[in-house]
Formats: sequence, C-alpha cells, structure tokens
Amino acid sequence: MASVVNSFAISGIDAYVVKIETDTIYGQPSVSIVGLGDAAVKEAKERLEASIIHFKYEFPKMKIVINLAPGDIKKSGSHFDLAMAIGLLIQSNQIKAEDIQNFGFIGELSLNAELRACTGILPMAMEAKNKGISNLIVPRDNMQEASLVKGINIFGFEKLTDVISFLEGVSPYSSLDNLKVDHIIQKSYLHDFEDVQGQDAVIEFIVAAAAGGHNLIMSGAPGCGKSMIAKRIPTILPSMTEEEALDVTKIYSVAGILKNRGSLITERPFRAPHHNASTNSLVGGGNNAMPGEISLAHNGVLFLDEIAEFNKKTLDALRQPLEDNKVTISRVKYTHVYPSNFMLIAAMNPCPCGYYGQQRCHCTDYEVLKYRQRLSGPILDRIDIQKYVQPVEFMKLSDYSKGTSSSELREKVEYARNIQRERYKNIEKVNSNGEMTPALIKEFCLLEEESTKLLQMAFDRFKYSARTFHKFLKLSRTFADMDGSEKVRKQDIAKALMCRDLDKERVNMVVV
Amino acid sequence: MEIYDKEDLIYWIWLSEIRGIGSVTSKALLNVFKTPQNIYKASKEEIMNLHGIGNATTELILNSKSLQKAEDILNKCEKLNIKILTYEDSLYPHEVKTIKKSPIILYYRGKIIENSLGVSIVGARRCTEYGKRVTVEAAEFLAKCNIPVISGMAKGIDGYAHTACLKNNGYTIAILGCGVDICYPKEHKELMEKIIENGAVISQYPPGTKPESKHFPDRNRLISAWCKKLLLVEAGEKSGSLITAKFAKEQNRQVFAVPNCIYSSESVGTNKLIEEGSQIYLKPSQLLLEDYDKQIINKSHSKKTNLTSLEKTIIDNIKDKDITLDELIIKLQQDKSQIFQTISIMELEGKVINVGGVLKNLCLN
Repeated sequence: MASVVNSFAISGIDAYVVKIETDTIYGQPSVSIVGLGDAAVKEAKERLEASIIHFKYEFPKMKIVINLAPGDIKKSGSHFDLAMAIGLLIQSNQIKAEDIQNFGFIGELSLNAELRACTGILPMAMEAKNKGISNLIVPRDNMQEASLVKGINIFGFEKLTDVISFLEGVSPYSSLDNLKVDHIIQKSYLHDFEDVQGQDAVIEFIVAAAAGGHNLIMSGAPGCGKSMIAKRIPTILPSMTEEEALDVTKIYSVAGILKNRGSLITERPFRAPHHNASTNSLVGGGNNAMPGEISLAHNGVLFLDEIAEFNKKTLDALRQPLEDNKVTISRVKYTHVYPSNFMLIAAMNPCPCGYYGQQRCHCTDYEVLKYRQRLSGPILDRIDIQKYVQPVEFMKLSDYSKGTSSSELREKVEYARNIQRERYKNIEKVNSNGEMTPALIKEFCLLEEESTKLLQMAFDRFKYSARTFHKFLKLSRTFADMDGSEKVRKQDIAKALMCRDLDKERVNMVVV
Repeated sequence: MEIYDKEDLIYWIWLSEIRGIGSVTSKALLNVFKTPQNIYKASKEEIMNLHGIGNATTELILNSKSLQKAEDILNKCEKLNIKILTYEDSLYPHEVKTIKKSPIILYYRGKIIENSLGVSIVGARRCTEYGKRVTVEAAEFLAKCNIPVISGMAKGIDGYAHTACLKNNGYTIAILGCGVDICYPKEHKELMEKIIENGAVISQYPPGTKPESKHFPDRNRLISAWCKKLLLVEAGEKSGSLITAKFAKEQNRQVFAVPNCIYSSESVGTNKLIEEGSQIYLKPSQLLLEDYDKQIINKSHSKKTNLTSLEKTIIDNIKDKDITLDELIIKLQQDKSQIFQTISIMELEGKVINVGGVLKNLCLN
C-alpha cells in the first residue's frame, strides 16, 4: 500500500492540500513523478536520490511512483521535496512515524540533505490550520513566516536527518530561537509629513483623500514635490488590522518577495512602478499568473508617477480592478483571483513643458488639452481629487513652519474613518465615502438649500459634467466627516469644489 | 460672389499660375485687355506694344498657353467646394485691391461678407498667458462690436484670436500660406471647420499648395491689407508678425502694439515697434473703426464688484504678483478652512482664477 504524506500547493494567493502518495513496485529501477508537476517538480527525483543516499539511507532499487493528488491541477515549485523524501522513506520501511496524517511537510532539499526556504509558506500554514493538520514541518528559514499562524504546531529544521529523528521520536524538538515574539509591532515609517514644508493647502486635500478613500491626482511642475508627498501618504493611512496585514503578507509570500525572513508586513505597501511598465507587470500575469503591482499595493498605495506617460492600454487595464477591488488573471494553465484594493495616487505634469501657469510656459491651450487627454475618461472618472502642487521657493524654506507630523494627520484620518465604518457597517462592499453608490449618496449627502445654490453656481461657471456632481457630494461628505459634522454644510461643499483643479481650467481654455 | 462663367475662371486661374508673371504685371495687362481671356488670345505684337512689358514677359505668356493646369485646379476646387474670388469681384475689398501686390485671384472656403475688412490680430506662436489674455479680450470685444477679426490661423495668438471671436459669435477670416484644403497647423482642424462655418478661410494659393516658408510673407501682406487696424500682441525679435506690421505701415494701416515688460523675450519686437512710433495698445476700444456703434463699449466695462473684508485682503495680496494658495495661507495667518471657503466662492464668482495652481486677480478695482 502506498504511503500518503501531506504537502501544499498555491493557487492564487491561497493554498490547498496536496497528498503525496508514494509507492514502490517491482520492476526496472526508476522514479516517475505524476500529478501535473512542472520542471521543478520533475527534477525533484535527482535531489531526492542524492539527499537520501547522503545520509546512508537506501534509495530503493525498484520502480518508484510518486503521485501528487489531486492529479488534475498543475503544480509548480520545489517545496514538495521534503514530503516526497519522507513518503519514500516510510514506504521503504526505513523510518517509522506515527500519526503521519497530522503532519504537513514543506521544504526544498539540497544535495546535502539540508532544507531550503520556499515561497508561499504563510498561505500554506493557514490552509493547514483550516484543514486540521495540526503539525507543520518547515525549513528553519521559513519558521518565522509560518508561525504567523496561531493555533498549530510549527517545527523548523535545518536538515533532513533532524526531521527524521524528530518524527521517530529519537530526539525531541528544541526551539532554538525565540521566534514567537509579538508580530504586530507598529514600525515607524522612514518618511514623515513633517518634512513637507509650505504645502499646507495640498496636504489638507491629501488628508481628505486618505480619510474618504478617494483616489487622487497631483499635477505640478517638475520638482515641486509630488513624489515627496506621495511617498508619505501610506504614513497617514490608518494602521492595518491583523487581517489586512495577513492578506498583504500572503500576497508577498506568493510573489516570493517577502523580506526579513518572512515576518508580518505591518507597513502599508507603497508601490511605484515606472511608467514603461507592461500591462502584465501592473495587473498581474506572466507564465505562472503571478500577482502584479496592483495586488502588491493591496491595502496600500499605488503611485503612478508621470501617469500621462503610461501606455494607454496599460492604464485602461486598471479600470476593472479599480471598480471591483480584485483582479482575475486567466492564463492557459491557471486562473487566479488576486485582491487589489489600493488607493491610486497619480502625478503628472500639467502640460507638455511642465510649467503651466508660470511665465516660462509657452504651450498653447490645444497642446495642454491634448496632453491631458492622454488619460482616458474612464480612468479620470475614478479619480475624485485633482490638485495642483506648487513648487516651494527654496530660499524661503526657513520661513515656513515645520509641517504637520504624520501621526497628527493620521489621527484626523482615523477619526473620519471611524465615522464611516459606523455608517457603512451594514452595507456590503462599501467601507468609505469614496466607494458610495449613487443611491447611498442620495441617502447620506443631503444638501441644504444654500449648498445646492453654491453647486449650481459652480456648474454654471465651470460647466462640469454630470458625473462630477456625485464626486462633489462624496467629497463634501468626507470633509463633513473630518469635522465630525453629521450634516453636509455649505463650507464642506465649498471645500469640495476646490478639488477639481484640472476640470476647472477647461472653461478658461481658448479652444474650439 | 458673382456668378462666373467656368470658361472665364479657367483663364483667371491660367493667368495667376504663369510662372514669372506676378500680380503687378497681371494687373497692368488686365487694365488694357480687360479680361484674362483677351490676354490669352492676344497676339505677340499686341502685348509687346504695351508700356513696361518687355520681351521676356511676352515670351512667358506666349509659351504657357496650356490650360490643363488651370482646368485641374478648377476641377479640384469644385470637388472640394472651394470658391474663387477674382480681382473683379465686388466682394474683393476695394482697400485690398488698391494694394499694389494684392493677388488677382483668391481661393476661399466659407462665406465672405460685404465689408469684410476688419481688425487684424497677429502675434507669436509661442505666446505667454499675458498675450493670450490680451488677445482674447480684444477678439471678444471686436466680436461683440461686429467687427471682423482677421488673422493667420497659426498656433498661439492667431488661434486664440479666431477662437475667442467665434465663441462670441463674431465673423472671422483666416488667411493661409497654404491651400485652403490643407490645415496647417494640424491641431487647428476643428478651428478651421468652425471658421469655414462662421467666416472664411482665404488663400492666394491654389488647393494642394503645401505650407512653405516662402509663402508666408505674401500671406502676411494680405493679412495686413485686409484690415483697417492691426493689433500686434507679442512678437520676438525676429517674429514673422513684424513683417506683417511692416506691410501694414506701407499700406497705411494703423498699427497697435501691445506693450510688455522690456526684459520679456516674447515682446522685444512689439516694444521695438512702440519705440519706432506705433500706437500703444491699452484698451480694446482703441480698435473701434469709426463707422461702428460706440454704445456697446460703455456697457461691458461698467461692472463693479463688491468684496467682503477677507476677499479684499486676498485681492490685495494677489493683485501685483502671482501667488500660490500655500503662500497666501502663510501670509494671511488665518483659519485655513475659512480661506479655502472664501477662495472657492471667489472662483465661482469669477473674482479670481487658478491657473496651474497660481491665483490670479480678475477684479477690476
């Protein structure tokens, strides 16, 4: 009868249990691994043989068949090595292990029978817990990442022999380092809004964007501080809940870019892909349908600098993820769903030369509009706030008082977010003002007569499109929340009206 | 436009297309022979006998008796709905005819009205915000006074002049340095369509002619000829607009130059014109032509604005120089919310304007 050992495989950002079945049959000595494994899985047999022989165990001279069940899903990765080795040793009666179905094995073997770290440990450990597999054996280097999951026993080893002697009960497990320290430490960010001086007006609107979950575009001359501001936006977002942090860590684990030996990611991600990024690198894809930048920015900030320089098709690919907060990647081999709930911060120059509004700009109105039209309507439509950023006069910097610190700003944001959480707690898929549907806007953004008049004036003067109307209402709701006001007041509308700098200019453009 | 005989037009085109025969010679010939057809049919002796016409010119005429090219052009015009205005036409303004070098034939699209002579506005392609503001104000004013705005449909000042005029339902003529079937620069495609709808696009070059630099001085001469007053908004040291101004002076048109900062490279040309004795342009009413109604002027400039105290402080701060919202906040030392609200409302009321993040004053007082 074949031996069965538990291991795991990754699909999307979630793992599923793979049963490794090993059988030895009389016949010509050979090893065949079935179950739709990729090249890394097939090559395992060479590592297997070398590492088993390394420790003076016998590699059975029989026909060895290893099956990765379920056999109809493609699998990839080298982390099945350990499970295969254990399975083979049990099957050939070289080791005795009890209760093997309560163990899960993850790890790649070296030729010297050492265990190497793998990617995707966190989702695998979570799956083990879900499926009631109470003991998990992982490479020592992955120990920390695996131990993010509470409620199961994690054992980390460096060598195959250690694993075997532990399984046989020869030597008990000794935890070397104290890994289970408190994972949730609020790390201090490297940047702080304190460093941004003389940009108080813009920061006011940045805080509103963070508080209401509104997407934002900054426009300004080269070197005016757009990127500096963008980098600091994650620092004023409310700190992640444990659930959010696990989600982010899972995505990074699957993508194989988890640093610090796999500790929990507690900082909100900040991703800033360069503008020649391909569609696949942005939304995800490639041979193995890996997560793209938008998923890596999940629960954080996606900063698109020089957004007008991005390929138009690439940008348009963001439309659906921006709407659904997730993205489905379909390839011949895989179909994965990755979460992509991010805050979009974009930056662009206001005109081809970059100095619009200043004396040195000689761009004609037509050229300016043409440049701005590189951003398609549907994308602009998903960005609530358009704000100009002005360069600060360097020599005057000492005159400006120090900027407000990130922690102070974050308090404001959290205050407004708490109000929103309370308001939307019974409504599915809506957590912030930015996500309100038209029906909700009607319910929560009641206007006083004076405010309506003000809006009317704005529409008469600036000829906004109808869809901008909803944006103003959403934004005014956020401004009211920031002040803790239940009603949307006239001053909230007035502030909201200042959020469309680029649209406003349309009316002053002298073009046909 | 008079109804032309097709036959007749062919000879007009033929005459205008003879290489080496300019409009001056053509006009001299027309003076004697009355119609181009007569010139075509004239014998060598008849032409030779004329005063001022030499052997070479006669040879040129006699050696180019093919009408093929003229027919091709005419067919093209018919296909593209391009109309032709000859020197004899009553819509051809008298004031333009009297210019020595005015062409004997013009191609146009759109509609040429009677009394199409107006005010020309020309200037730099790469203009500044200041130039744009002056141009738009002048063109709007002229449109409201029913004075045609003449320009060259180039980028920058020209384009703004046409656009502002059209937006105020005015009549505008664009004079091109290429065929009227070609849009140059390309970005003015929509503008050209609008001009054809509400005015006219004129060129002395037959359809299909590419915009080449050698065509532009002649176009500039026509722009200056087609006006009573010429407004030069911004011109660098070697600007083509200065050529237009030079022609205008030769043609006894009144030239107005917009003054600007003496260090501004965009205005070296205009400032120099002022030095040389051109009129200094200070307000649109200077552009009025005598025979137009002066009532309208009084209406548009009597708007007074009432300001609250905070609004007044803000206006005082941005009056003399451009200032950003941030600088204003630091300067005023007041509650941010209050300032935001006030500025927002002032923008709505058209008291200030935000251009690229810089606040600019729009109040008159």
